[in-house]
Amino acid sequence: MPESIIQFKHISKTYHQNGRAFTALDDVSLDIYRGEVFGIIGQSGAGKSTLLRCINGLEVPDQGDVYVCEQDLSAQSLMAQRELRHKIGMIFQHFNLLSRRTAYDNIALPLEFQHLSIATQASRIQDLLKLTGLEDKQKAYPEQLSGGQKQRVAIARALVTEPNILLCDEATSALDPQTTTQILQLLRDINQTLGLTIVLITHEMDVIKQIADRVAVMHEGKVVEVGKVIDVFSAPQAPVTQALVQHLFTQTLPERLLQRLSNEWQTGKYPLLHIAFTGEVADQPVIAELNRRWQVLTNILQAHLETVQGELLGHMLIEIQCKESAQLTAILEFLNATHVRVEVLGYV
Amino acid sequence: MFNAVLYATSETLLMVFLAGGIAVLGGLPLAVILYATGGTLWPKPWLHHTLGVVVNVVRSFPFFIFMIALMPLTRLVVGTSIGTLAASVPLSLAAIPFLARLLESSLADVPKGLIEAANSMGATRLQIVMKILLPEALPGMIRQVIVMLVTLVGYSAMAGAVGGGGLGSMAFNEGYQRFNFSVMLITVLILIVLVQIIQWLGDFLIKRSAI
Repeated sequence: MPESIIQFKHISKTYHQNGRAFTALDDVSLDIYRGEVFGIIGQSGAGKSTLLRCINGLEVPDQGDVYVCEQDLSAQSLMAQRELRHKIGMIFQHFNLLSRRTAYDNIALPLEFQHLSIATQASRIQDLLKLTGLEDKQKAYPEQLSGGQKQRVAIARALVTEPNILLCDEATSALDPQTTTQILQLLRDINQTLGLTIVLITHEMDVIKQIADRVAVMHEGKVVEVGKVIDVFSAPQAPVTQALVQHLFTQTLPERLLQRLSNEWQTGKYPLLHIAFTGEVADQPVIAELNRRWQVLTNILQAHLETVQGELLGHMLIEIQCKESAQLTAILEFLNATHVRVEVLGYV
Repeated sequence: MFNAVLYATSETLLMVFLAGGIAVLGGLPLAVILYATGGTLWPKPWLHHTLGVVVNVVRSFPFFIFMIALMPLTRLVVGTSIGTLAASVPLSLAAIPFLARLLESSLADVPKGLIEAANSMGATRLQIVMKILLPEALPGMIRQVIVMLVTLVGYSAMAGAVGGGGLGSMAFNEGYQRFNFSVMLITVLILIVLVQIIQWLGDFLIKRSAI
């Protein structure tokens, strides 16, 4: 059993604004393990941002307890909470750098709050400038830096206090895909070299896929699904998760197909299947087997094979040119038996 | 004549910068308190509203009336209600709430994310004010101080008209009441140049402070 570094125990939080109540967190219980990269995904308003802020006390739950490093946050004095926050770094979507300080001085900020000596500050800052690849940018002001560089400064600033936990609040949402990948790579490296626990929230499945070990899916203040990323991706249980995963996939579906797609099986149309498979199944000739057993033609419209946390994950969109529903049922049963996750998207 | 103008100019400068200095000393802390008590930094709605009402009341007074109403206090502080030093008392007291409101808006322009970031680093309230709020708001605050100084030039002329000395007094007594058009013209021209210099000085400081 892995050791928990953060524990949420039945926490709830409701906001009241203009006489209306909004439930941001609804009885959330969750364990985050030491040293892992934990992703929290959900649409905006799902409560993920509030949940993240409960870890460092920027938000206080109405009910329930939050334990960080085995300490009950709600039982702490304000002073003790500030001490604890020195051990939790945080980065943000819009970087939140001070515009009138250089990169170097921005990184120094948390150390100034802790009244550390200039010598200690300098050596730590130099280490982090090196780690984040910013050595030649230390005298630059934020407005002279690109988005990716700003986030690197923010990461260095978050790490300069040598924290155990790094919280990432949509840290790559304001960055282009290429920069996102670089920043995620940097976070992954930090996680591995420093053994830092990373908790990140995002609305992008792609971010989870690239970096997280485990993921929690949030919807309307509840955690609807939690598990290893590979499991959640290959066999999403909750409808919200299925929608998220499918979106990642069907967003690349050609316009031509989308227009033809209908929910009814009409003459001249064939079922469109979405199949997902992991690990060993990826090596088996499943599609060829369909042709051999039922003599149906399969038309592969789209196929995608990728590695998620070192495991193979395949997605395929296939049109099966079968005539009757009995045959389709048999095919679906066969596919399920081979541990392929299959779903009828419609008929084209 | 030349000496009289020079003397009047020095009186105006004294009034503007003395009152301006006192206004910064009083207005800046007041602005920080208004900002902090009204937001999440140090929420004290009761204090915020009380201070807000006091500020609004002082600002509602027409300056002329305010000056007269304050005469007993002025006499208490400087011993007389006539002269440059005496005029500086109502000028300062009117400028404090005026500047406080202007500076409060500069503080409010500092992105909330910066304060959240500082909170996440375990900063104390005082650290947030000293290391985040004031430095980040500085260019905006300089701009507001310039607005106040220019306003004070105008107010000081009004104070001058009722015995406060300075260019306003000269324009009114010599220029207006004795129909000396050239004196009026010269004083107005000097006031224009004064305002220009203050504005130029401010722009220079803003440029230097905004990286």
